[in-house]
Amino acid sequence: MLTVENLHKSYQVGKTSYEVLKGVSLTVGKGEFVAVMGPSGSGKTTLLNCISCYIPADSGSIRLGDTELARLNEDALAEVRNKKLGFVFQDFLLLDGLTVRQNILLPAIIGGTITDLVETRADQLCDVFGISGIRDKYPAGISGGEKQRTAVARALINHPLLILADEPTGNLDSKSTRAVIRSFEQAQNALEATIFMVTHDSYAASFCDRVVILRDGVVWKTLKKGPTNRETFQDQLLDAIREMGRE
Amino acid sequence: MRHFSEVYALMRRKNKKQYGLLAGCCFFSVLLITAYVCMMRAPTILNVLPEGGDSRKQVMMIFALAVLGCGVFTIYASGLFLRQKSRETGIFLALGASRAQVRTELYRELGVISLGACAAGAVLGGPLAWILWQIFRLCVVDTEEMRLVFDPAAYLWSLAFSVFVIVMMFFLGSRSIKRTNIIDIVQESHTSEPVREVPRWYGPVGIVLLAAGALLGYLVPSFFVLVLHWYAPEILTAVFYLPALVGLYMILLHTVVNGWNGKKKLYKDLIATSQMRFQGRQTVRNMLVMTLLIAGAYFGSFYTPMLGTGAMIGYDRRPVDYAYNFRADQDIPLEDEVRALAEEYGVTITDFSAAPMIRLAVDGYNMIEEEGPLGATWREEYEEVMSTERFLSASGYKALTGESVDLKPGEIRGIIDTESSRLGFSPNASVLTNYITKDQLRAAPLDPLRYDSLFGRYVMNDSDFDALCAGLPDTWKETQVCFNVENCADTYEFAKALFNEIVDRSTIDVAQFDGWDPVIRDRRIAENGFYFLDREQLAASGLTLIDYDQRDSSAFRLNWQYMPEFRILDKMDFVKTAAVFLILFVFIAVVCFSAVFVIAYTRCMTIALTNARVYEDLRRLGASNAYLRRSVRGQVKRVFLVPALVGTGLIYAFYVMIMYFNGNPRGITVSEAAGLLVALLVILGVSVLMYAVYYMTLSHVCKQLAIGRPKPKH
Repeated sequence: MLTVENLHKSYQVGKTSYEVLKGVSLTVGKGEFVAVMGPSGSGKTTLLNCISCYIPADSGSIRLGDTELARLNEDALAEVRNKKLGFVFQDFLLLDGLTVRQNILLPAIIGGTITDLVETRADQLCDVFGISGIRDKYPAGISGGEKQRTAVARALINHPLLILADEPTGNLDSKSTRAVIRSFEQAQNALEATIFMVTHDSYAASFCDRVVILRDGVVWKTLKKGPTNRETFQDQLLDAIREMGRE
Repeated sequence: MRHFSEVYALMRRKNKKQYGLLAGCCFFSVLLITAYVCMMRAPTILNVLPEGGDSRKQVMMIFALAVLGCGVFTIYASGLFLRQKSRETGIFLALGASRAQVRTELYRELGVISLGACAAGAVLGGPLAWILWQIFRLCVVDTEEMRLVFDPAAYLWSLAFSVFVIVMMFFLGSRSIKRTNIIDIVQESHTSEPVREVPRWYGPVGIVLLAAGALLGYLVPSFFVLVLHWYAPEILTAVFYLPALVGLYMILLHTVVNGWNGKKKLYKDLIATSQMRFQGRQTVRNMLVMTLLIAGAYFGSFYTPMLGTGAMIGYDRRPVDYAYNFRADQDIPLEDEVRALAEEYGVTITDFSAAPMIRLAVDGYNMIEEEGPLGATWREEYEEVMSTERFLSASGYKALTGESVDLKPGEIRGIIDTESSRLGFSPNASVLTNYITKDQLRAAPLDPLRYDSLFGRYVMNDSDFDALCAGLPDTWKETQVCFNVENCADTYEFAKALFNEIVDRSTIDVAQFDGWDPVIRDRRIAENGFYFLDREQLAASGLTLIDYDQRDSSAFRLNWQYMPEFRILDKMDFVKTAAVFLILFVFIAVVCFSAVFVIAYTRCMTIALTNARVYEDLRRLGASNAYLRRSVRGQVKRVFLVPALVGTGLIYAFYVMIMYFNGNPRGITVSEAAGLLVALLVILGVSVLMYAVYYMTLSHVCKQLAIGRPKPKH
């Protein structure tokens, strides 16, 4: 589904160049729920932004399905973002002037693919994520958790190959965090969505099938959940983080 | 909702305040520029402002300031709109909209706003100018000359400004879409515009540059003309004002970033100072524009009091109530007729005197201009027969003034005004020629006499007068009349009747422009084949014809060579005579001050919009309403106060400098000092108005931020 190979990215600040990604390689399989963790400055968000095609990588390869993203022109990239990727942001990035339902439909409207069927799907997504009761409300009138579930529904409206989530629980309380993570699980189980999530939160990451830990721009360790339960996996994650801190 | 344009329509409804602000700014800018240009290009105004004259240049200069101000203002408003719009643009792009798709919709929005607002501003600008003008006519003064006629070509200027606004908005819109990094766009509304570190020497150095620029800009052109004999192109002389502009920017930057209090009040004003500092460039640019507009507005405002006060003091200083001169071939009332007319109006003439006067050619320096690649240069060439001056005999002077002048043969004395403030006469003639008989007299000019009512004449020995008068036809002879009346202030009707009688009985031969000179005329015709002050050349020279039927117009009263000087008539009709000038400059001041108020108000409201989150955080940290209000006041006060103080101080100092340098000898005369005092009163009045606008703005900003009034302590 998603293959990242030997990805390099550096930022220029004044005359100094900072290499943030130093040859990152990873894969995400279809239907997988993968998290990327790591300390601040490890390159998680930069990795996500490169995969989202928001910023160009310096070198390396990002393949989504059969498509090499680096080779696409701007219009084709926009098409990829609209049709093959779904986005969930830490700040939700909902439009205040649109209702919950209209926000969910936005990618389909942008892509010009809106039909009665799509509208029905939006209603179904509202049902799946428990936001049917607020679908005609505006973002200003709903909670953070509801906003993020709206964002998840919006990310799924165009049947994307991959959902990219940047700290989706970063601005939420524990109750809302649980609701959003549950919505990711529902998307994975009921809608066969593939999810790639950047997070600081070991609790949120413990729901994933696999967690990639970045340190100083390289993959430091990958942990698989396997048959273990969530709590044990969270302990393993915390141990790994502690171990990283000791090195 | 199935189309992208419908999403934009919903966003428009949601963000109608932002749309309203942008549309309002564009509308207001075009409205003001159109109103100004309609007025500036109106034949009514152009007829009064001589082409190439200082007044027209001043009007044009303030217009340039207004265009600059409104231009920067609309750029700022567009930038703010696009910055606020960038969040939704970023979201659209992040969700897969192509740039072309977003650009199409944004262009449609900008097109509707800019075309609608500019069209409305352009259409209503003319009527606004007309209404303001009619209000002035109704409330202040109304003359036939003030009938306002618009030139449709003025709308071309308005169109040009509208095109600038529209093109600028599309350019900024296109630039905001072109940004390649979506992350930057998404986060743009959270980024501030930091001002780079500003060294503390910016303040004092700014003041030095400002003073140096003002001095250089004012004095260097005179240096070019007087010392280098070079009329440098205006664009070059304007460059010398640049240090003043740089200095002004440095002063404002220092004020916003560092402040003038050092660290004394750092913690008291912490929030206000920090907020102002990080709102950065736009604040300083806005302040610069406001400062320039305030300076321009005051420049216009001072015109009326300076002109009026100077004129009134000048009228009062005249030693006689009534003075007039006429050519000897004219049938103009003399003592018997004047006394009869006075009796008719119940006026008592206390003394009446008349004396013969002759026009003689005098020597002088002819200024010869030569066009060069870098502008015209000039050189002087001495001419024994250069121009003419009017001469009285010593006994004639005594008859008119009661003062004896002891002059030996060959001695002459020019007559200047008591303040030496009137220009155009330097009493240094040394060769006097009877232009008809060519008889000459080598004269020794002595110290000038001072007598305001006979300004510009010479006095000579009686025998010299008789000798040079011989052979002169009546067209070269004149009579000078002076008389006083009882209760001069009550003799307006008599003055008006006598003025009308003089005009009615003057022939077309003496309907001459003030500077018309028979000797210069002969030379110009010999050189060029025409004389620009001849009646038939006046229109081509951009000057108004002397028309006896327009005897109450400013063109006639200011420019007729034989215009009588009747104290009460000049005083009472001053406002009428100078009406177009006065009202034009008042209009300019109104336009510029309106622009300042709108810019300041908009800037302060954007402070409320952009800082809403900061104030919310402060409230959560326990800040009281009183604290929040003080913090808001700190910012609003700076937006209003700094440009007001700097702009006012700047223009007042500039005016003092002009007054100081424009006389000979240098210094400030009594009438100039009185004018400056009246200008101070104008400043006081405008400051009260400005305070009212400041207070209203502060209330609106507090309301926007939901900051209540602190309760009074009991």
